[in-house]
Amino acid sequence: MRISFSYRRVMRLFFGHCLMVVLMMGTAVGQIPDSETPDPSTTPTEPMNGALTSSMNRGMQHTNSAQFSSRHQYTLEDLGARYPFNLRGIEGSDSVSFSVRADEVVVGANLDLTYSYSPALLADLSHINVLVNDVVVASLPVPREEAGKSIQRSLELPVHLITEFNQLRMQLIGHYTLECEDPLHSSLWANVSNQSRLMLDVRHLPLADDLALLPQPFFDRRDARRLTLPMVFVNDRGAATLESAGMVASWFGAMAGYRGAEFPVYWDGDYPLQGNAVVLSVGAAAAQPTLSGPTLSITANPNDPRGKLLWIRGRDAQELKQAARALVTNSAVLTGQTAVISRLEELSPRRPYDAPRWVPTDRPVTFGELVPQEEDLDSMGYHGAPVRLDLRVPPDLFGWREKPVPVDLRFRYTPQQGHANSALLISGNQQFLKSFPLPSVDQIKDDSWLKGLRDSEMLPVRERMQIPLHRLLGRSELEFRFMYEYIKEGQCRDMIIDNVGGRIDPDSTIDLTRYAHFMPMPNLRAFDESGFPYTRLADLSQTGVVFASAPAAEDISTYLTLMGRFGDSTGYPATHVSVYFGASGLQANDKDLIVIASGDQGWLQDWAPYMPAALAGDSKRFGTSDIVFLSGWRSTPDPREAQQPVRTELRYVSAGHTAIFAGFESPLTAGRSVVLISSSDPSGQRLAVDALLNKAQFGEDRLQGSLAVVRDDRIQPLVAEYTYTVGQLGPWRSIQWKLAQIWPAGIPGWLPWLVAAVVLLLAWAIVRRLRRKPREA
Amino acid sequence: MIPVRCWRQIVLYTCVVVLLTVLSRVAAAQDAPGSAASPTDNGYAISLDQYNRYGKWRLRGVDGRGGLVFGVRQDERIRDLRLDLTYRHSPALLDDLSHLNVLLNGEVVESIPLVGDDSASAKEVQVVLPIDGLQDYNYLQLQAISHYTMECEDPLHSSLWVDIDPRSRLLFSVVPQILPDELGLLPLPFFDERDVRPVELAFLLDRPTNARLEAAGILASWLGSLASYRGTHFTAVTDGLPQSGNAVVILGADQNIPGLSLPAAQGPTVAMRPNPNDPGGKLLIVQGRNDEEIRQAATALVLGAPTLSGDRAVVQPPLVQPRLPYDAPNWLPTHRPVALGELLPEGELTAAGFEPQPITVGLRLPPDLSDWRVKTIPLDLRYRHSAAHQSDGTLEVMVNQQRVRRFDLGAQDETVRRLVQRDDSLVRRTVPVPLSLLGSQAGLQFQFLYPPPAQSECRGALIDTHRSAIDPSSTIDLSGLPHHIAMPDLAAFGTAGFPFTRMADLSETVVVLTPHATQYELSAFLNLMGRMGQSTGYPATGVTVVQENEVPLDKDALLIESGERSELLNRWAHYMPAPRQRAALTSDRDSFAGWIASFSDWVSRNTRRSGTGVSFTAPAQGAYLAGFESPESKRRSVVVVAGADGPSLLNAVHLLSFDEQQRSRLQGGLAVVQDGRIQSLSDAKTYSIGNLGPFQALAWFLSLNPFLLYVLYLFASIVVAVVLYLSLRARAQMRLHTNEPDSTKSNELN
Repeated sequence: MRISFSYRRVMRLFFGHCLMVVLMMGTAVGQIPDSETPDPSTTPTEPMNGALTSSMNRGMQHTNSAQFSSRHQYTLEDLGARYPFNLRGIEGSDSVSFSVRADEVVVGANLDLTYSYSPALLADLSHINVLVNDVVVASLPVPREEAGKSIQRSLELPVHLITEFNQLRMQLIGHYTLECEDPLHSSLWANVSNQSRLMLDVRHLPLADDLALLPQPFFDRRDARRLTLPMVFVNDRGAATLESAGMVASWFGAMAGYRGAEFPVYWDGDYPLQGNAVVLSVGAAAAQPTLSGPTLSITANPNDPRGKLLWIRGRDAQELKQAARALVTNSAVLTGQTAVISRLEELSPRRPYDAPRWVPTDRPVTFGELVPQEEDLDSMGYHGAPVRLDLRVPPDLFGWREKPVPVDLRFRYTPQQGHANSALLISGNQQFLKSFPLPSVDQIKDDSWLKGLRDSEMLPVRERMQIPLHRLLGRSELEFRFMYEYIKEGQCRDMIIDNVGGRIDPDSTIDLTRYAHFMPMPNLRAFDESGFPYTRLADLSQTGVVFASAPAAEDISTYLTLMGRFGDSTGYPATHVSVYFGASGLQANDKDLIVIASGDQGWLQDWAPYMPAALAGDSKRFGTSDIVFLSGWRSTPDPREAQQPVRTELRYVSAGHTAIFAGFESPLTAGRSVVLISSSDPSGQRLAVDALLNKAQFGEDRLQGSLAVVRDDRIQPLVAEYTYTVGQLGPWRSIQWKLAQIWPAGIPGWLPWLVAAVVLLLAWAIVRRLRRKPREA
Repeated sequence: MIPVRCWRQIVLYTCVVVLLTVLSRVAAAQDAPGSAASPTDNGYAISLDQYNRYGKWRLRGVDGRGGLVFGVRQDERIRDLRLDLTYRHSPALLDDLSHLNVLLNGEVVESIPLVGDDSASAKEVQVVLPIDGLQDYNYLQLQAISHYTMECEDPLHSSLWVDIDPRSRLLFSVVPQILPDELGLLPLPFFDERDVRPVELAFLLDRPTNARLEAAGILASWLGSLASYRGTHFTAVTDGLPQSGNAVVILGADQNIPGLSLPAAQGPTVAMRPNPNDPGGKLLIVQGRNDEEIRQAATALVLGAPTLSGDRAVVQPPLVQPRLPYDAPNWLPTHRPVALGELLPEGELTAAGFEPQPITVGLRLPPDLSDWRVKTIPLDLRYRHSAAHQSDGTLEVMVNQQRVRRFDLGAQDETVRRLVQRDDSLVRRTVPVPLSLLGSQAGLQFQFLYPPPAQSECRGALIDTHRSAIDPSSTIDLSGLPHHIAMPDLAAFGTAGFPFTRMADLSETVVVLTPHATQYELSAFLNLMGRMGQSTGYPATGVTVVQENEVPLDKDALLIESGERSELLNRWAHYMPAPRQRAALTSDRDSFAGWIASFSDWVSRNTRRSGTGVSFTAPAQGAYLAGFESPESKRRSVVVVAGADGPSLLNAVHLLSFDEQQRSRLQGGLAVVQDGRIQSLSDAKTYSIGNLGPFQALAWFLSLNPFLLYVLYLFASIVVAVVLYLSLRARAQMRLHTNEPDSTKSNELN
C-alpha cells in the first residue's frame, strides 16, 4: 500500500490536480474474512504495462482539453423542497440539504433565487438571510418598492463552506412595527420559489482504482439522483453470467433505495462512452490480465478516464458467479486494485419473509428496530420535523375480518404552561389515523405526580392504538407529529422560547403476529411495491427468469432493473436467482417465474391460453374489463368484491409500441406465479423500465390489477381478476372466506335456520333409526 | 446483428428526420391563413366557479385562503395567462398591513394592497400569472392577510373579510401545440381531462346509414362518459370537414375525404390524422370495408382505447361478454355493500381544520330502486376525529345539503362503543339514509365542525390540530332492494337516461330517427348518446338505430324528430299521456269517484288510460318530451324527444344537459320545453317496470287498485266465515255424537 501511495504523489506532481491515473500494482489482494490464512492460490496478478500507457495517454488528452470540470444544476425542488418555502413570523426559516459526491470537489457555487415578501415588512429592520451550513452568506434587503412582486436575484456562495453534506437555509427576519409586536403576525411572510436554482461547478477528483472504496465511485450515497450504471457483457451471455449480473444489480438497487437504479446493457465489450460501468467477463478478455480464479478488479474506462470499470471475471461462468457473490456479500473487506477470490462460504438458505428490510411478523417489533438511530424518534421545537417510521410489511398478510394492528405507543412530551390545544397527530401514509391531546400543566387534573418532574423533563405517556392493516401493507410510512400551540402571554410579553419537544419511545411496539400469510393473486401492486411473491425468499431462490433464446439487450436491462427493485425491497442481494432461455425455460419446475419477452414471441405459444394479453410485433391481443371505465380502481377488504374480470377480447394490428405487465398462475405448478413483462418490440421495454422505476411522467399511476398496459405517459390497469391464492388461512377463516364468495353481503338470515332445521331433521332421523334397530333385532 | 454504434446512427438519423418533419409542420401551421389571425382568436376565459362550484370565496380571518386547481390542455401551449379578479373587502382593514396575495403553485405572484378608503365597493384588478412554471395541473390560491388593529387582535374577528367574486375569470391566450398522430394518446386530444369546459366536437356523418349512426352513437356515448360533469356539445356535420379543431369522421367504404390520403380499409380500422383544414386539429377516423366493420371498429376503439398505439390500427371484431342489467360502471353495485373507499381515494376522505370543507362522495343509483317497502338504506359509517372531550365538535351527515344525522364528537356513548369494538381509534355508527333523498344521483356529504380554538384578544394563536376522516371501510348497502318503478318517469330519463341505461351498453334500446334526419336531429341524437354515457360511464356499444318505418320490437324506443310529425308518431299519438286533466283525476284516487275511475281503468285496461281522453297536440314552438308504454310490446317504454323545428330540438337537448335547475323540473310523462324553460304537463303513472317479487307485486297491484282490495277483503271474510262455520259445525257434531268409534281406534293403536 505504501508503494502505491508514494506513486500517487509522484503522479500528482506530474499531472497537477487535474489528472491522476492510479495504478495499483496488484499489491493488495482481496481477502474473505472467513479464510483466516491467505490461500496460496490468491497470487498477485501481473500488471499489464501496455494497458497502462494507453490509458495514461487518453487521460492526458482530456487534461489538455480541460474537460474535468462540469456544472450541476438543481432546483430546490430537486433537493427535496416539495413546496415553495413559506417563511412566517419574525424568525421563520426553512432549508434543503445538498451533498457533493466523493469524486467531485466544488469550485464555484451560485444561487439563483426567486422570492417575494410581504409589503408590511419594515425595510430598515427586516431582511432575508441565506445560510450555508448555518453561516450567513447573504442578507437580502426587503425595500417597500419591490414588495409583493416576484424578484429574482443571483448570489455567489462561498465555496469553502461547502462540504460533503450541506444545508442551505433561508431565514426571514421580519418586523412590521417598532412597538409591541405579535411574533406570529400573519403579515410577516416571505416566499421563496422552489424553482430557485443552485448551481455547483465541480472539478472531478480522480479516485484510486481501489476496491476498498466500493461501492464508490459506482454508487455514492451523497448523490440523490437516480443511479444509472451500465452493465457490459464482454464475451458471454449465458445463464450464469446473467444471474451474476442480476446479483450485482440487486446489490446496487438495495443501496440506491429511493433513488432507483437502472442498468443499460452493452454487449460484446462495447464500453459506455462516459462514466462508470460494471463489466462481466468469462475467460480471457482483451487488455486484461489473465485469470487465476474468480476475480474482481477496477480499471479506468478506456473511453473516459474519469469513469471506472468494475470487472467481475472468472475462468468459467461458475467462477464469475463466485466473484459476483463475493462482491455482493463481502464487499467491505475487498481492497486493492484486484482481488482474487479464493474461498467463499456457502450462504445459508433464507427463510420465507426474512428479508432484512421487512418488518418481522413472528414477534412484536419495537420502534427502535425500525429506525437507523434512536435520535430519529425525537422531534424538537415548534417546527420540528415529525417522527417518521418507514415500514415494509409483507404484502400477503391477510387482514380480512381480522382485528386491526395493535400498537403499544409510549411517548414523551413537554407539558406547557397555561391552556393549550397541543396534540400528537398520528397518520399512516399521510392519512390521519388518531390524535392524542398533549394537555398542559393546567389541564392535567391530577398533578400530584407532576411535582416530581423537573422543569425540563418530558412527561411520559402510554397509549394503545390500532392501525388498519391495509394502511401498512407493502411500503408504508407512519408519521408522528407533535403540534404545540404557541402560548401567548398578552401584548408586549410575547417571547417564543423554542423549548418544546416530543419523543417516541423506542420501546413502543407494533404487533403483526396475528395475521395469516394469504393472498388472492395475481396482484401486480404487490409485485410493484414489494416484488411479491418473488421476494418472499430474499435471495430469490425460488425465482426463475425466462428470456427468449436470444434475448435483446433491452430485455436484459428490464431484468436488471427489476432485480434492482427487488434488492431495494428486501435489502438483500439476489444471490440465488435462476435464469432460463426459450420455451424449455418455461418448464422450470417449482419456481415462481418472471417472463421477459419482446418482439417475436412464438416461443410463448404454449402458454397463450393462460395469458390475458399477448404482443408479437405488430399484432396485439388484449383482454380488457370495466376497469378502464372506472375513474379510479381501488381494492376492497375482500379483494374479490372489486375484481374486474375480462369482458372484452381485442385483437388488432398496429405499429405503435407498448409494454404490458400480466400476472397469472403458472400453468405448470398450481399456486406458483408468473409475471409476464412483454413489449411488441425491444424498444418498448424502455416503457417497462420506466414503469418499474415509477418515473415522473406517470404521475400517480402505479402498476395494479392482474394486467396493466404501459404507454408513454400512463400506466393503465386493464383487468383485475383473482384466479388463485398463495399462502394458507386458518381452518375457520378459510370456511368463512369460501362462504363470503357465495354471499358477499354476509350470510343471509335464513341460512342459520335452514342449517338448524337440517340438523334437527338429521338428528330426528338418526334417533328414529337408532330406536328402530333394537326392535328389529 | 447490426453493431450498437450503427444503431445509434440510425436512431439519430431518424430523430433528425422526425424533428424536421415536425418543424416543417409547425412552420406550415404558422403559414396557414387560419392561424395567422390575432392571438385573441385563440383565447378563452373560465370563471372561478366553473372550477370550484362550492368553493370558499369568502376569505375570513387574519389569514383567509381559497383556491382552485386548473389544468392546461395538452394540445395547447399557453402564451399568456391572466387572472381577472373582482373583489370586495371590509372597510375596517388597516392599509399598511392588509393585502391580498395571489399564489400560483405556492409561490406569491403578486400582493394586492387592500386599501380601505372607499368601503366595500367592488374592485377589479388584472394579475399576469407567470407561465414558465405551469404544469399539467396548477394550484391557484388567494390569500387574504387582514388586520384591523396594531394591538391585540382576535384572529377570527368578524370585520376581517375579503370576498372574491366567483365570476372572476382566468383569461387564457394559447397557441396550438401539435400532437403526434398517435392512438396511444387517446382520448387526447378529443377529450382532455385537464379542461373543465364542455367537450366540443364535430362528427362528420356523410349520408349515414343506420350502422354508421350506431358507430357515431357509440363514440358519442364514450366521449360523454369521459366528459362526465363537463357535458358534451357535439355537432353533426354532413358536408365536409370543419374549418378548425378536432373531429370524428365516420367514413363509409365508398367515401373519401378531399385532402386526406387514407389507405383503403383492410378491415375495421381506427386511425388518427391531422385535420387538413387546421394542422392543430386532429381527426379520429373510423372506417371499414362495410357498415358492419365500421361499427366493429367503433366498438373496438371505445372498449380498448387504453391499449391502442400507433397512428392506425386494424382491428378484429372484438369479443364482448354480454352485460347484465344495472351493471353500469358509474352506478353503485346493488348486490353487495359498497365501501366508500371504492368511490373516493383515501386522500379525499380526510379533512383538516376546525371548519373544513365537507367530504363529498358522489353517488349514482339505479333510478328504479323501490323505496315502497324499505324507506332507508343502511350506511355503516366509520369515522375518525380529533375531538378530545365531550361535545367538542359535530359530524353532520348530509345528502344533497340536507341533514340526515348529526353526531356529537367525543360523546359519551362513543367511549362505550369503542370498548366493544375492535378498533378504538375510530367510531362506528349506522346511519339510515332515506332512499327517496338519494334519488338517482346524489352527493353524500360529511361535514366535520369543531368549535374554533379558544381565543381571546391577547392570548392564544391559531394552531389547528384538528383532523377528521371518514374511514374507507365505511359501507353503503343497496343489496336486497327490488327494482320497480312506476312509469312514465321523465325525471329518471333526464337525470339517468332511464330506462334505456338499465343495460349500460343500451343493448335493449332502439333509437328511431326520421329517414332523412337533419343535422339538428343527428346532433340531438349524438348529444343524447353522450348523456347516456355520462350516466352509465360505459359506451353504448349495443345501441340500435332504425328508421321509423321499421317498427322496433321488444326494445325500449327513443324517438328523436323535429318539424312535421312523422307517421309513426301520428300512429302513436293517442298513446301519449294527456296533459293535466287526467292527472288531476288520478291524484284523488282515494275519493269514491277515484275508485270508480281506477276500477274502470282496470277493467278497460287494454284501451290505455291516456288514450281515452284528450290527446296531446304538440306546441307550435319549442320542443316536448313524452314518455309512455310501448304500444308494440308490454312493459317497454317509449320516450319521444321532438321539436317544432331543428334548432328548438337541439336547444331542448342542451338544456337537458347543462341546466340542472330546469332538468329538475322535468317530471312525469309529458313536458314541454319553451324559451329555455321546462314545464311538466302530466304526472300520471300508467305502467310499471321491474320486479318486486311475488308478495310485494301483489301488494303493489292492490295498492294501485284499492277497489279490488275491498272485493278481496269481502271474499276473504266470506271464506273465513265459511271455514269457521264448517269447523264449528264439525265440532258441534263431534260433541253431539258419542266418541265410541274414536276411542276404540285409539285403544287398538295402544
